[in-house]
Amino acid sequence: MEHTETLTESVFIKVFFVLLALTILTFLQPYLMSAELAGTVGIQMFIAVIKTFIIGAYYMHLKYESAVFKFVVATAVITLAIFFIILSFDAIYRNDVNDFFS
Amino acid sequence: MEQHTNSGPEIIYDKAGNPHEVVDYNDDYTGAKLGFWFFLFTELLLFGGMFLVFSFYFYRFPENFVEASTTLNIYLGGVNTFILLISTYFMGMSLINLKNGEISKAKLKIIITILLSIAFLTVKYFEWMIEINHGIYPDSEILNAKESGIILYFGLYFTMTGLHGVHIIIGIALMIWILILMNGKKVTPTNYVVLENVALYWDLVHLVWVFLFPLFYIIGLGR
Amino acid sequence: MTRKTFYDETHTVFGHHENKLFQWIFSIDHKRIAFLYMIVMFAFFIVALGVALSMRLELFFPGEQLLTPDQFNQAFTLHGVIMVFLFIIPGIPAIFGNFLLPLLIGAKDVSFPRLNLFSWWLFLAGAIIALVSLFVGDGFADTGWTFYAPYSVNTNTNVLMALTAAYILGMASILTGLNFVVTIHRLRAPGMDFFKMPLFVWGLYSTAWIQVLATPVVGITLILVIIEKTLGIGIFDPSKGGDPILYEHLFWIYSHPAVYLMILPAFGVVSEIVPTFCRRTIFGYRAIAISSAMISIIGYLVWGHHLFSSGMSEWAKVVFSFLTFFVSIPTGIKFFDWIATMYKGSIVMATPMLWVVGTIVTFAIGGLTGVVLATLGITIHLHDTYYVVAHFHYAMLGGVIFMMFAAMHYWFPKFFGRMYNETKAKFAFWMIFIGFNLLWFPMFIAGALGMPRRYFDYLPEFTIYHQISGVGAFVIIFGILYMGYTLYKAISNGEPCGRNPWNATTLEWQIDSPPLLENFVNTPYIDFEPYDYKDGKPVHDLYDEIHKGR
Repeated sequence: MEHTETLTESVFIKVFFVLLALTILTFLQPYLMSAELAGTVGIQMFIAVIKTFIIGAYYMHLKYESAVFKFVVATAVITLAIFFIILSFDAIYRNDVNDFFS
Repeated sequence: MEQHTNSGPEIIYDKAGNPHEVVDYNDDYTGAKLGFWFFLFTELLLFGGMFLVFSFYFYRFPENFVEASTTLNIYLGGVNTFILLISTYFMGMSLINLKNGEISKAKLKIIITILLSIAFLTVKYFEWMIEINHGIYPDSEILNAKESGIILYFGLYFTMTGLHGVHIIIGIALMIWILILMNGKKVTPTNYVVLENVALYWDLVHLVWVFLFPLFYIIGLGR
Repeated sequence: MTRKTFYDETHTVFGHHENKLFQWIFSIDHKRIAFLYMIVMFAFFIVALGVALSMRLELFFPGEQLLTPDQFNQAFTLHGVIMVFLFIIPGIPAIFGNFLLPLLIGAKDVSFPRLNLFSWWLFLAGAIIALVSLFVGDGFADTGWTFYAPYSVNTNTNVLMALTAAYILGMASILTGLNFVVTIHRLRAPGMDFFKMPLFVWGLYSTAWIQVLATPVVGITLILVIIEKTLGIGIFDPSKGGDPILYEHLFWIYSHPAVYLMILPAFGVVSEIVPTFCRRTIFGYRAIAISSAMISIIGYLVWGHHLFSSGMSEWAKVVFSFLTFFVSIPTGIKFFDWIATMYKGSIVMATPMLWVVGTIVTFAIGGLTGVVLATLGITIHLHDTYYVVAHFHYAMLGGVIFMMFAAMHYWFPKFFGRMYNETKAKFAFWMIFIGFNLLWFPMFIAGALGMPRRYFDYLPEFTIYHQISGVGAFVIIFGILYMGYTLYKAISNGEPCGRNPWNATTLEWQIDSPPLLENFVNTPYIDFEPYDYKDGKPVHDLYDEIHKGR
């Protein structure tokens, strides 16, 4: 085996408590803030993305992997993000009047 | 027929005389991990496609989606969220135990993960039965009579939680398989890439829920 | 001393077998797996050609000839499903990628040989399911290979089986892509960094990424149609608030990158052939390498050009048209680099090079007519006409398949250690090239004049175009059969040739024809770029280094 093992038991447990706190936060958020739907969705997705980074970096070991792993994961995630972004052009503007060039 | 003999890695030399190790495709820890990550990408895109569909219709029918979300049982959904989070803790710890040579501890943690997964599925079963007992299931008369956004919400609810549940079942099967491999000394403190990959799989299953839960349950909370 | 080739011995997944058939269908040797794919794919190719011929015969005159309208719909669906999912997408990677990738990078096999065999078995399973669906129930699907909802949800033909087959074939494609990506990252010979890889490997690498990332999206789409058909969840059903255009988005998010799946390995093949037969280093190696990656990336962004007249928002149409124009640029870079390589090279017009020159003509037409179709104002007129059909056949047949034929003629001596009859092979090329243009060029005109695609019947004024196409169909099929016969005969009767009859430079030519079981006795150290020629001859000869000590 090549790389030195740096994900220790204590780090693992600390990460668990961070994730636990974030999860509890997702339950409390609608009561802490009277946000409109867009705000709630935005913050919930933001928290989910943070959890993703933490889980990916520690639980899935990416922080300790070589650059190749980070590169391929980033590529896959960015590809999915691109689908969302481009599809949104149709989703959002579908029922707009088509008089672009008039 | 030639048998593959493990006589150590092939070493070749460049013009300056420096040695270089040739990677052996039969014994490539990094390759096995990298390959599994690519498989995880396919799962990412599979569920990602489903989230594309969800977002599309959520954008179109926001009030319907919120209204339907309020009818879901937040306690059951919440319990499942914590069950899954704790199960990933045990799954990851089992790998750390195995690497440290503590095989029985590792096996115990995997068994706990299996039990937690079964609990998750049980809760999910009860959740589904609540909807079905109210006459809400795909193509039911009661559901078809409701507004479009509500029909789509529940269609997506059953499909996405169903697909997620299938992946949990597959995960349980993988964990049982890992226990068999550990008993047969095929997975050991020095040869653990299969357990590492199963743990990665379980983390992905958890990640899907991390996004699924707020989008289905939280949007209707506190309203 | 005769060395045992990969035909004589093999590794299998279940242990030793006496039976020769088992030694092939359970073999985990990448070269044998390439053959397994080849046999199944060519068989289905012939079937799809037959279906195409039946359509051309039906359309020779207006009115009904030998197919009913429903059968005609099933025919173009069957032709599309076989050609797209069973032939062109697996295509060059399954046969030539499997055989050559480890050879080109100096490896003994791919990273996951058993997974490689499993991919073939999945491929076979999908093929059989598709075949069975022809003969049960209401017959083969009649939705077109694109399975548009809501018709695919409502029709009674065997759409469920076709979707299941397509899903399984997708899994096979994903696993092959996964295998190739990891192989390229992990098993390159020491010293071979990414910019010392042959360009075919760059093509396979870019393709493998698409296989892994795009295929799951169509996978989930097909599953959703299956769920819609069986459970009625409503996501593509307008009466329940569903959106058929969303289906088209999801379907084409995969299916557009799929065409780059088809062409990128083919471009890689051309990049291998051109320097060999011009006997000089390829012009712009880095540009060609990076352009493969660029095509792969930009290819993800353009799927909406299949939806221009479906009812998308105006904003979306403008975005997709703009991005589609972009994707032609890296392709153009390749074409200019190939032509620059040929300029003042000492060209050997052997059969592979003849195919390459032919495809440069036909694919250029295919690509340029694609740009025409990407123009919003024109596309409204041309959408769903024969212009589109001509465009994609010029690109897929005149591009991918012609390049596959070039690959067949280039690597034939490596696969079999023999050479085919050059005169007959060139004759076959001309038959195919002439037949191809007779068949497809009139369709550009017919389409521009208004002939719709997938139509069973037509107005009398279009008859002349269909008849010229019909004649072309006979010529091209004759040519393909003649080519197949020429190559087939050469397998046992061809002139034995040495390991490097073309004087090429890449690693596969530095080992015996046919190769040994594990390819390289000793792995060579690579400290040079590929296509290294000096005065028309290869600079490096690694044969002795590779075979030292045996």
